[in-house]
Amino acid sequence: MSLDSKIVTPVTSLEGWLVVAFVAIAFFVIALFAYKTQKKADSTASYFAAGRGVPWQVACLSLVASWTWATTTMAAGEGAYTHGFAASWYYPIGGGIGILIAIPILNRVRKVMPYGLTFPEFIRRRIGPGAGLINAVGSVVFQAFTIWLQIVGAGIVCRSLLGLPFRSSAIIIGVVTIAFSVANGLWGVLLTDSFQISVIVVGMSFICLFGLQHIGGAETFYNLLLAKEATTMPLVLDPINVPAAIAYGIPFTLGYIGYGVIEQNVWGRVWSVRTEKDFLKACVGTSLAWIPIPLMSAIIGMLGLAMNVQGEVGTDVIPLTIMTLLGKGGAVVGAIVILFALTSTMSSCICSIGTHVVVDLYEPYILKGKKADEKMNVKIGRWTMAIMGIVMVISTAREMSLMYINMFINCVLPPLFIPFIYAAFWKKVNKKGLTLTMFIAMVGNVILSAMVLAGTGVGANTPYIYSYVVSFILPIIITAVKPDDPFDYALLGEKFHV
Amino acid sequence: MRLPLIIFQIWMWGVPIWGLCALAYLLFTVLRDASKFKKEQAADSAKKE
Repeated sequence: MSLDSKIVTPVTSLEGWLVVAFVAIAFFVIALFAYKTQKKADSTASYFAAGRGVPWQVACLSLVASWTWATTTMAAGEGAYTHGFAASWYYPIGGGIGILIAIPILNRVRKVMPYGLTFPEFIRRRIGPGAGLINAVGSVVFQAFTIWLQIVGAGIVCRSLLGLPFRSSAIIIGVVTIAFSVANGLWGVLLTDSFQISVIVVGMSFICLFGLQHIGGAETFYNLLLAKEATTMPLVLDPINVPAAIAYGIPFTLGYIGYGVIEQNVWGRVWSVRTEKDFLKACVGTSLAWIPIPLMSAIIGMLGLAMNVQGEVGTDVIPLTIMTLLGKGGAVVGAIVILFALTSTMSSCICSIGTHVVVDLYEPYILKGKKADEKMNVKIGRWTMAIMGIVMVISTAREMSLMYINMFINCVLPPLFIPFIYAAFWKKVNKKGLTLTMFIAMVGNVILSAMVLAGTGVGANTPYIYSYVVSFILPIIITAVKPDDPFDYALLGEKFHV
Repeated sequence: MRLPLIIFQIWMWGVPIWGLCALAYLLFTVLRDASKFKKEQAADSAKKE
């Protein structure tokens, strides 16, 4: 996505600020509702796990919302615009499968450690403090860069669709979201997510259905794409397109497979629902409810292709198509949908950072096993979220390359995915070997990703392949040479953070 | 009408409807469960009194 895209919006500056005000008012109303419906958030579990009594549907809607971000609403459409119909399902299926693959792993950890709060906490108790620290730092970096990406995205959307200045609109959206997350904790975040995802799904469905009608129905749409097939894009209607799979489908799938497991936003919801049955319903529901969102983005991208929408850069496609189809109303609906997608992810990430700092850094390294003062934990969490949020807002207000941020995000988590599976299921895995593997895989992945960015000829899939291969093989070799004594998973069932 | 066109039409109209149905189901069941929970709570407190 370019920061210099020059989309001319029909929305006036005043109307643009009214849209931003609407987003802020929505946050305020939900904050009031969250305050009224939440039991006092004065303990670690009540603030960071919403009291462990969340209905599965709310957890599911919230997971769908936190998985719906800039790439879901814009890059999926860009993929379909660039590569045709095949690319429209590569991204959604990768993400949907990601959460389905994660279910047995999440379920296993939830069973053996029912009172957990974060995934690095599980790793710390199962493998050791070094491995726990690597996971905690990796996850905080991931969440921080994700927030960064969302704030930059918010500035771009405000500028391109609403005609507002990049810097001030990004700061306002960032500050409002962070203030809301700090005030309400996980329960408030879950409620906002549920409201925002409802608006996103209804808004995108409306754009798709109206767009199809506007273009003359699905048959005319098909004929326009057939004309493209005959001239410029011979593979546009093929359901399987190998070049698109290599350039687009495989990197997304490899990136998303681990997200279901190594993502604190997922774990926050895993430990917030009441029962195992509720947890399973939430996971399956997330897959089924999330997949249509990037699929709809892809339909909008293909509508743009059929109508010959020409943006300066790929990511202009979705905003331009929406504006071409629906004019001023489309710009407003599109801006609200994308801003809700960005802010829901941002608020989840802020909440996750606060949880990590309290559970994975303050309790083990400052308190060192002493009993935590629950109110102090909440206070520290709130301050951390506020400070980190402000740092992110200030630094994001400077224009940065989204591709660079995205690449950085991608190199942090995949190296931790396979070691996590070993930790969850393999009693005899060598703990020191697993810690070493996480470190080597992560450092190597960062270096390779930097080489991809520097244009040294290293392929975009190489960092993923490297980290998956190293993290798969190395623990097997080390454990074959020197296995540990079998670990007793019952030790993890202790009642902490009740 | 050719089969690819039929599939294309089902996909294009079906995906937005799929999204709306999934959302409607989740919202309907959460409201249903919430009202059931409230009724149970009211019955419990009435019993205690």
